[in-house]
Amino acid sequence: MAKIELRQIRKSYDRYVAVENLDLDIIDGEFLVMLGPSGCGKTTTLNMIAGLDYPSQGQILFDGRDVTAEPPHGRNVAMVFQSSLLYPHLTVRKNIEASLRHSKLSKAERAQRIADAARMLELEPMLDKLPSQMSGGQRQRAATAKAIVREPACFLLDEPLSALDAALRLSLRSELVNLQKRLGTTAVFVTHDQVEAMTMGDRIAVMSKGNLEQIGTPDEIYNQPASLFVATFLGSPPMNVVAGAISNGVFHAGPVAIDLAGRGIPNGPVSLGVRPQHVTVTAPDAPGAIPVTVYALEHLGRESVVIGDDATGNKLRALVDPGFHARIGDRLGIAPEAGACFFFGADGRRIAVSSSPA
Amino acid sequence: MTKRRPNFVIAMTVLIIWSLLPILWFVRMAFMNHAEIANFPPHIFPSSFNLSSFVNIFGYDYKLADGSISAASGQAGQIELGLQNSIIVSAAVTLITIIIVVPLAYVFARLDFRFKNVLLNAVLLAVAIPPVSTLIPFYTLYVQLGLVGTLPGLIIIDLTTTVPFVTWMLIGYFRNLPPIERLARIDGFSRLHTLLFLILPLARSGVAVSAIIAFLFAWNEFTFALVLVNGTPATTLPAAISGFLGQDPNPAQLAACILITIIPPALVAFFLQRHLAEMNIADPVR
Amino acid sequence: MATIAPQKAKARRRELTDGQFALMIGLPVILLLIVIVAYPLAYSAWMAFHRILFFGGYRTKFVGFKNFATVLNDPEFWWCTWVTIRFTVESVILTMLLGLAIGLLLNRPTRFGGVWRTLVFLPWCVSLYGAGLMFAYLARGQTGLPTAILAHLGMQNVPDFMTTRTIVEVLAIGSSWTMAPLVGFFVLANLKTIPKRLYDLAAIDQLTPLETFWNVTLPPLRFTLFVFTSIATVLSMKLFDLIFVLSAGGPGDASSTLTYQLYKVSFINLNLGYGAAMSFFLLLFIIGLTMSLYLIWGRREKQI
Repeated sequence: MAKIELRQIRKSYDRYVAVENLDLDIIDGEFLVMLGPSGCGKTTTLNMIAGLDYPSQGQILFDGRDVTAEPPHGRNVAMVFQSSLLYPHLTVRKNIEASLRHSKLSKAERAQRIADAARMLELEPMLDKLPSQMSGGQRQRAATAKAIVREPACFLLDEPLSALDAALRLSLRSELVNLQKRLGTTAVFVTHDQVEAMTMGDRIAVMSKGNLEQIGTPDEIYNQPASLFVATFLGSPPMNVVAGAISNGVFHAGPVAIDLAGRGIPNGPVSLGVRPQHVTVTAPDAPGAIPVTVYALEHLGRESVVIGDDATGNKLRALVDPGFHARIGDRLGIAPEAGACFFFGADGRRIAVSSSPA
Repeated sequence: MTKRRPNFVIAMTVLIIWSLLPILWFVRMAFMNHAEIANFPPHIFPSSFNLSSFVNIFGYDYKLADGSISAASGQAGQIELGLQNSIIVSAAVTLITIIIVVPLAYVFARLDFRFKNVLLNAVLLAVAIPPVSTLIPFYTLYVQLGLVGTLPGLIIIDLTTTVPFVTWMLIGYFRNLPPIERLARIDGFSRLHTLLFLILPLARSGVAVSAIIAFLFAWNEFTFALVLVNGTPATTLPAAISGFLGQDPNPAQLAACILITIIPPALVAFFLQRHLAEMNIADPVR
Repeated sequence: MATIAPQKAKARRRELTDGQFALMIGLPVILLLIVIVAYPLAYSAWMAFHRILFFGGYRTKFVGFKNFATVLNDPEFWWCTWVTIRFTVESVILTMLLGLAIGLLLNRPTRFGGVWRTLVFLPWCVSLYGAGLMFAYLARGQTGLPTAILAHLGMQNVPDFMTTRTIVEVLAIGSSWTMAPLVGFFVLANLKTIPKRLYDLAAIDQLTPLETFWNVTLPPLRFTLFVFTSIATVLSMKLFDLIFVLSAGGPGDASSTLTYQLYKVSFINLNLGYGAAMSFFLLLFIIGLTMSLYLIWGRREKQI
């Protein structure tokens, strides 16, 4: 159990900068998800926390203790790797035991720990199998058992579920969170899957191009995105983005005009972001609605998504009742609710304003 | 075998015949007697299967069916000595090659360090140098060091070929092993422990194949042996057999000797062929 | 949050870095390798720049590039170069085709698979001098299989392949006979990694067997094929044992490759300076040929 602090971390390989001036506080006992597209630096950051990789600059503290130069084992971390890497030539029991190699436990205590971990993950019948003889889900459980058996300061998980099929992922997701909450151990979970991030994390750290875009609870990340990148990366179906401009405190984009009450906003290009549940489908020529041509209609069961192309080919999505009917090629209007819109400046950061119809 | 595959059967038959024909030609010769071999035109099959050649080359007389005696070969002493030395040299070269090459190939395949490419090129250059052009430099050096006509001398010179060649072959194989070093670092295993107790058992096919290659090379090495140990107490089987070419031409005994030399590598290959089929050096398809 | 000035990560690491471990494991071996490569090369270079005389007392004389110039002006050298190229090209192409065939055939599941594998592997167990002797007996008209078969059928012809025109082909067949199993087994190992679903896909797309081979089987093999084309090229150009035993460069100089010529010049004529200079040209050809293979082909394969 540990509080982990990253101070001004920078990691570069030759000329390529993988992580830039990262400050991150991971609270004791929390489940932190690091989310971002591939190449954003999230795995590099995880490796630096693990000690598999060393930062070029900056400090890493575990409970206030500087571990920046400490090798992985000295930090007492446990890690689950992509596609649940295990030693292929060792049985599950031997694999789990390898985690305890450097502990000062007696033989009986070790056996007890392994038995406990195996029971917790329902691995008892498989302890003497080789990883190649098990299914993907069983391997994932074995890798988790190997991680928890050491009672580490923190769990580090590097996309452990990405190689599994959807149904298995769903059940293992809640299983992992449940386990982490029961043990109360700090966990850092790296993923590029926003659904995984939203459902599992106590907090989410969104990264892009080596920078930390935003850190916060799933609710904060979803409802108060700090940037256009965060806003569009999270949410399914994704947020609609409409390019427009501000003049004299009013946002204009074609027929859409929204008054931004905040004064002193400089004129210039601005992007409007609105989630599909915060738009209404209207007639194509309704005031305040962007005319679109229906591109597709997706049925999700409880609701449906209309996808339309506007005049520039930009795709806009609207959540509608499951009974909604439209044919591809139909003309419709999509009108954003003024109060639920986000505005992002040219630099991609969100402009804090309260908005109302103009 | 649910489907009949005539094309496959034909192709496989052709392949087997192709592989065995030259060997069978020598089997035929080995069973012939002097007169039969000299006969023209040559017969396809020997008239009788007499084992005299195989007995003669180990220094024993053989009583033929017609009561005459096929005398022991004058080369028998050299052959037995050569067989003994060849076993020592091949075992030593195989063992030392493995001990040197496994860590070396591992380092080149899976670690990143400065001058890696320069050093790798040096290894490749060592593969490219023809033995004929290194013979005189090594011979001169060996004369000064007193290594001519000794087993260690031959072992060292065999290693100069096996080490770079096997390293080259193993690098691709090591690259394809799963990245368990990261797992091992988390578990707190030292680098050396990781290599010896985690990578090595995982790489046993690669090690087995390295052993086959090194053994075959040392067992069959001819040029160096001819120059360095031929006619000395350190003579090896290939050098001893060369005696049949010049001093004492006897095709049947020569053929018998060559056949004997095939047996040990064939046994090695038979027991390790499973590993040969595991030796993938390319990126696996995903 | 108090800002901490960015500081260099401390060098105190109890783990060895890649470089340190490589040094620890590899340095002694690498040093040995350098000695093995550097010493003979340096010695050969010294010889190549000297005239070395044995008769009338051993003496040496520095002659600069004279030996190299003599090599380049020697028509015999260019003839041997031509023989080497002809032999290498034939031997490599045959080896690779045979190796591919061996891999493909052994990849089919059959009963007694281990027995077939061992039989196909046998030629590699035969030493090069052994193979040289076998092919010499097989190809010579006096003792060969073709003569025996014809005589068996009652014909009097004596087909002889140990002639000026065909000796290089006999050598190429002999060398590919011994080398092909090695290639075949590596191809086999690579073939085994191709997932079956790719063949299912090919079946769904109704590809002909040839198209399947071209689009499914061959692409994953390309890297292995490149590596072994390089290896076969190097081994063919270095080949000595087989030629020494099979043809001794003959008839005449019809099969006198550079390695054999090198042996003749250095060990029979004892013209060490000239031989050393020639060995550098041979080494240059070997490196040049493998480099061009890499530039033309290997560079395009993703993993080198």
